[in-house]
Amino acid sequence: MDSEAAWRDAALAGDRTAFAKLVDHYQRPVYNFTYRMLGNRGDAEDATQEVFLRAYRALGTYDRKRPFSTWLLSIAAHYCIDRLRRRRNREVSLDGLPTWRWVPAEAVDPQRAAERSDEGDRVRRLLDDLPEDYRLVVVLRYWHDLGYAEIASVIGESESAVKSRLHRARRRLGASLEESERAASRDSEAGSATVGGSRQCSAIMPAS
Amino acid sequence: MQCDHARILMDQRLDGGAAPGLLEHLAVCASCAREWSELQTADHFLLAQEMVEPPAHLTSRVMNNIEVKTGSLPSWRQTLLQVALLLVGTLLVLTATAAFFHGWWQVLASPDAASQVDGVVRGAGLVTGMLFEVVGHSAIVWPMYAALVVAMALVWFGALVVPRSAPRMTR
Repeated sequence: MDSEAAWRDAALAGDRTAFAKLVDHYQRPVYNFTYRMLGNRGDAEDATQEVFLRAYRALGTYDRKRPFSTWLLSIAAHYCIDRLRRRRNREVSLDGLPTWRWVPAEAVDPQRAAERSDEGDRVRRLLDDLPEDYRLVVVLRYWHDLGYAEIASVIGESESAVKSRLHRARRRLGASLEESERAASRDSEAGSATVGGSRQCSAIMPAS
Repeated sequence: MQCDHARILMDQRLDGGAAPGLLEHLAVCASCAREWSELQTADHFLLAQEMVEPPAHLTSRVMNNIEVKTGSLPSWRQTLLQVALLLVGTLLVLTATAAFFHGWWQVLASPDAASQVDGVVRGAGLVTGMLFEVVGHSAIVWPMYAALVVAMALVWFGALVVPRSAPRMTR
């Protein structure tokens, strides 16, 4: 029996030290999953704590036939989707303003704007632009290297649904990447003197 | 080749599988060629991404959070607490039920007013009835009775619901 299975069995029998070892073993994938789903480190840490708390409380329902990692990611997936939906609902409620289009405040927050300058933030923005269920399959496929059957098990959908979402997600990401590359090459040709000013003015703009 | 079939082959190719006839189709179908370009761009970009490092001491923070949120007790103490709460809850329910029927039996059996009042008091519950007699005929007996009911509900909740939601784990 490998050490992970031994920790898992001991945790199921009530050994908290064994559960701590499982947390140590899985904190990196769970944190990375929540980070890619939620988009920032603070939310990712909160979510990681909540995921392990939920797992701890639900240990009695764990099916030993299922890989522990898949079970854990399933809890994380459900938690992140719920959290993203609550976040979206808050933004939608602000959208109730009839004549103005709301752009989230983080778009002009200096700290967040600075964070966006690096490559990691480029990934975050691209993932943010994907619908939650697309983002879910992309993260599970590329950051966790899961197969279609495993992803289907984590999110509770069929393999064909997973394949279809992954295809569409890749297409959207690819189109965004190619468009941003084209825009970057246009900017470098025309100069980017006025780009900053136009972005500042786009925080609140009349709906078209 | 139909474009739908070409899409299936594109995904197979990205997954490292064979895609017979795909290149020939891409050579004659501009729409699929554009789609394939987008898929490849996304695939290359995503494959280049790496895991980020979690914050230091995340494991200890997770375990502290579990400690705080669950307030875990050793399993034998949980069992003892559960049994004690069940016993207290059962005694409260039996006492209140017996007092209720005893009090109303007095009301029905006795024609004089004093006994009827006494019966009503006892029907309100043994504990609250005794308090009612101690403090005199005031209006606080029914709030007391309501408090008793709430206390019983809390005891039953504590005995039956809380232990199920808390994990039975030991250090």
